[in-house]
Amino acid sequence: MTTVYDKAADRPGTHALVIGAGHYPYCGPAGATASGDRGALARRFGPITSPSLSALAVARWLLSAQCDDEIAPLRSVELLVSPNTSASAGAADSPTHRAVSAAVQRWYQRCDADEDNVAFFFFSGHGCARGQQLLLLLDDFAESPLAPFANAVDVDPFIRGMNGCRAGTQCFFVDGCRQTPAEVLDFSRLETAPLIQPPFEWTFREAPLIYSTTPGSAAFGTEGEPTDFTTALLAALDGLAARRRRPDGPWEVTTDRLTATINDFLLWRGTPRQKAVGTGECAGRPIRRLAGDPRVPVRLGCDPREALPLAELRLVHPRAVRPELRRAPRAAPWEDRVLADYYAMHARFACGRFAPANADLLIHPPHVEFDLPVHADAVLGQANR
Amino acid sequence: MTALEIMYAEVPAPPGAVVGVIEVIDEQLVTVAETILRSQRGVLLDIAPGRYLAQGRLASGEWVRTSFEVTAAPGQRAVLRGRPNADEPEASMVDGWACAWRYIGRRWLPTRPDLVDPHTVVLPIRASVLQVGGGDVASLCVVAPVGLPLVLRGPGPSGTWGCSLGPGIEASLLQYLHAGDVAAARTVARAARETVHAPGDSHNAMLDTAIGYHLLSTGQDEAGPWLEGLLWTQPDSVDVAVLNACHLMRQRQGRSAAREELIRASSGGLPVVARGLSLLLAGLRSIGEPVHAQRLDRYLSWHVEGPLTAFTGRTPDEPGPGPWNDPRPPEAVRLGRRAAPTAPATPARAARGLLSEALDILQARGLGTTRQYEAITVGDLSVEATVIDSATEGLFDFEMRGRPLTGPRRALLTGTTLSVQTGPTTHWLATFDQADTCRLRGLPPANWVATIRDRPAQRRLTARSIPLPRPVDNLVLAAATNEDATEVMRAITPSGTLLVLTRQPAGRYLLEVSRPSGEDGVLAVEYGLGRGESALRLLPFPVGGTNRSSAVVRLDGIDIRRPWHIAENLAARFVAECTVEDLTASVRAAASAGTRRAWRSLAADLPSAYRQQVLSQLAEYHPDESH
Repeated sequence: MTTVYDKAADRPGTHALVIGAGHYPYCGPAGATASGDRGALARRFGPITSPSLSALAVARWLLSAQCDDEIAPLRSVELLVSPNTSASAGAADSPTHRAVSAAVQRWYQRCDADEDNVAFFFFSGHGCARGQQLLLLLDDFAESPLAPFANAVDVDPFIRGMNGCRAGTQCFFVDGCRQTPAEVLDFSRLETAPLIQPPFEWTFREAPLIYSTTPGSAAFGTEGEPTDFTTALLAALDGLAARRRRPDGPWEVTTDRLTATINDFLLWRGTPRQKAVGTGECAGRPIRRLAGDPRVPVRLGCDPREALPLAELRLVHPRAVRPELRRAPRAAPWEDRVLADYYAMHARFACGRFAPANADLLIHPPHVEFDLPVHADAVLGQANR
Repeated sequence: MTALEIMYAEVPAPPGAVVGVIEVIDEQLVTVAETILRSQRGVLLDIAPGRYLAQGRLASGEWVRTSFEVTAAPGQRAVLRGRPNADEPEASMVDGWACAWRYIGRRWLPTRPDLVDPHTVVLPIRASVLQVGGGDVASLCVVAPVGLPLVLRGPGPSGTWGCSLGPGIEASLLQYLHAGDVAAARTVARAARETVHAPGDSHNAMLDTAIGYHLLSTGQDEAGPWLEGLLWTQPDSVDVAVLNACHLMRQRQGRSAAREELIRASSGGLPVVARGLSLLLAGLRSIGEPVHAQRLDRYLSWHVEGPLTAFTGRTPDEPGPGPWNDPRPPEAVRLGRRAAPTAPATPARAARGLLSEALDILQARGLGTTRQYEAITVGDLSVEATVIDSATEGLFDFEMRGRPLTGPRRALLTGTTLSVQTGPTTHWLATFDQADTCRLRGLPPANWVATIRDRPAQRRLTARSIPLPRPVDNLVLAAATNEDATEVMRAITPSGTLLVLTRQPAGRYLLEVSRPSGEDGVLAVEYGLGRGESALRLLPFPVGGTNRSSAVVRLDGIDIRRPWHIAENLAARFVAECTVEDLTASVRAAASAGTRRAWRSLAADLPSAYRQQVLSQLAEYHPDESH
């Protein structure tokens, strides 16, 4: 079963195809049976857990956050995940070429029903590049030793094929490596079985295509967790890519801010191992309206930094419409996720070495990093003398 | 609404260069503005009083953020300062070299690039690829535009040489397009198009092309007309052919034309923009041209990440992993601390000194008193001066030419401005051209005094300028005692613009500028103040009228003993790149009703915030003329 959600309705909405490939039974040292370059190529790709967990995370997010969206409510989800983790075992069918092809047919037909539909495509798994080709390796990659790429998806023809679909907004998220293994250089072209026959003529669609990494680079994930890119993507969709255009107006996530927000999130979390790249055609269209204010990651401290371990920090809303947030004295910066709004940040020092301080602070996506300037307590300093 | 000046204070880019985009957010968390950010130059915003946050990520990747409060008072400024990325050790460029390549149809020929400084080169005319190598790593080939600075970086941890466009609006737009930051690219493109209405307006082919990529990728209706303009201004550009092919593929009737364009593009070399190569390959595959596609595909196999088409390669025709053991090409220039600029700065300075001596000799021989031909050798410089009858009876034409006596023929005087004084206040200006020749027409016979004019050493006017003569001291002294306005200097530029400097009784100086009607553009004059500072005044001209149009500006605080210069025919976008102080002072200093009318007319072509600033200054200081 791959259709995990199907609220068939006569109104347009979001139709998602989510794929997480990580089993690769015909790859790796144990699974590869071909000889020569084809065998070496298959042995290069082994089982990985992050893609399955990433696909599950994306599907769960869609089901929890997008169902009642005012712009493009969720209408259907096709999910294919490898069963190589406890979380993904039995959740949905494996992403073999046959299963993916069937899922693509259903997904395409749903998307094609109305030009106001939003087509949402997510893939996480091994990727392989050669020149202009980027191939997404499905779970049964290398099943045929002589034609290992028969069970892979060539991204470019797939995207061009989707251009024939009437859905006016098509979002493609590709989470996989874009490196070129040495073995593929001996092949003139990597032959795949097409999922969609692309038309020649091209119609403009709002169709951002966001890769998780730059050409020639690897994409990273941590064993047992969704990939860095998936976490960043969901954070962007959840609100960090949202903007408000009028007072008391809604926060809306638009396609033109996704890539920059994903990269900002990757940087925010530490030195990024990869950088997302946005391409395709994109003018900026809202795809999601938040039910409330977004939660913004903050990192707050004091300047000078030696005041921080002594500081009790508070975030206070000027009209007290939000609960006050407090942090007891600690050496590390105060990291949290705070509802976007206008606050007053206060620092209080029980020891008296520093004078109380405060500053206005606008908490707005994508992140806030701020060190509150504090000064030595002059009065106490005199008294101590 | 208040005019707020917002600027980026760090100095990694030339003043005025567009370095990124920020969004401005108000207390209600509404994004009220998205604007470009310039290095050390303010950008004006119309904004209501209140508290705001300005934040953004620059094209370089640096995050900037500041909070500020706007009141109703004029002249407010918000300054953003970046947090530089963690210091990376500067990769050594010693043993590095750079070579330019020209594509002459199926073949690439090496040629010498112009070395601006040890880290920056410029491709010469007709070259299209810059190769950077050395240090036992694979050399990098970058398809780059002619005339724009290319900043080089030594092999970093990745073991690859780096090359990128110098900071500027085209570099920022390409970087944002490449990164997929659509919102930022849109802001940069919008700012560019406030003053660039069609390809060719900006005289920046790379910017025009980048705008084309933006319009096409965002599906805007303006893409069609813009591409038509690109086809006209850059008919041989591979990028333009690719864009046109993509555009034709969107037209139901354009299949065969798109095919032709794709074949044409694939035969014309490589596109400058990396995205263009992907589009070209995708297009070739879609029309079933695997041979063309395969030939180009290998460039993507050895692609090096960046907005420009770049790959590791032995030559532009041989992409590959490298490194190679070939010696550097003989046409290559050396990089790093052992590099020496190829521009002949020292010889040019020496040549100016020799020219000055030659002028003294000519003057001693009565230059300008009669028809004459003089050939003078001073040091290594040979100077020929010719004075002949002009077409207008009673006047002379003058030509001067310089050349080195020894060594290969090279330009030593190009760009040097010569001033020929034919009367107490009258100076004729000429500039030596690429052939080291300058000419003047219609000079009255007299004992001419010819001198070299210098631009101010520290100057804000960076456009190509003409240094002006300084008034003679005794004339200034005489004017000081005169109760009437006194002309102290009159100069005619090579383009025929007449400048008349008069001293007013109150000690003020007025500059009246007269030029043929129908000429476009703004004139800028930079002059010295006390304490080593300078002032910049802009001068628009009234439209219409008779043979010539005239504008008048006060030169408040001028120190007439210091060098001063002008630049002519500047586009309206130059005005938008000036500081708010210069713009405001220029409007206030407009000293005739015609000049103020010209400001009102020019304001219509300026971005909104600048337009408001000009009109508000005119209304405040000349309310009777406002309408």
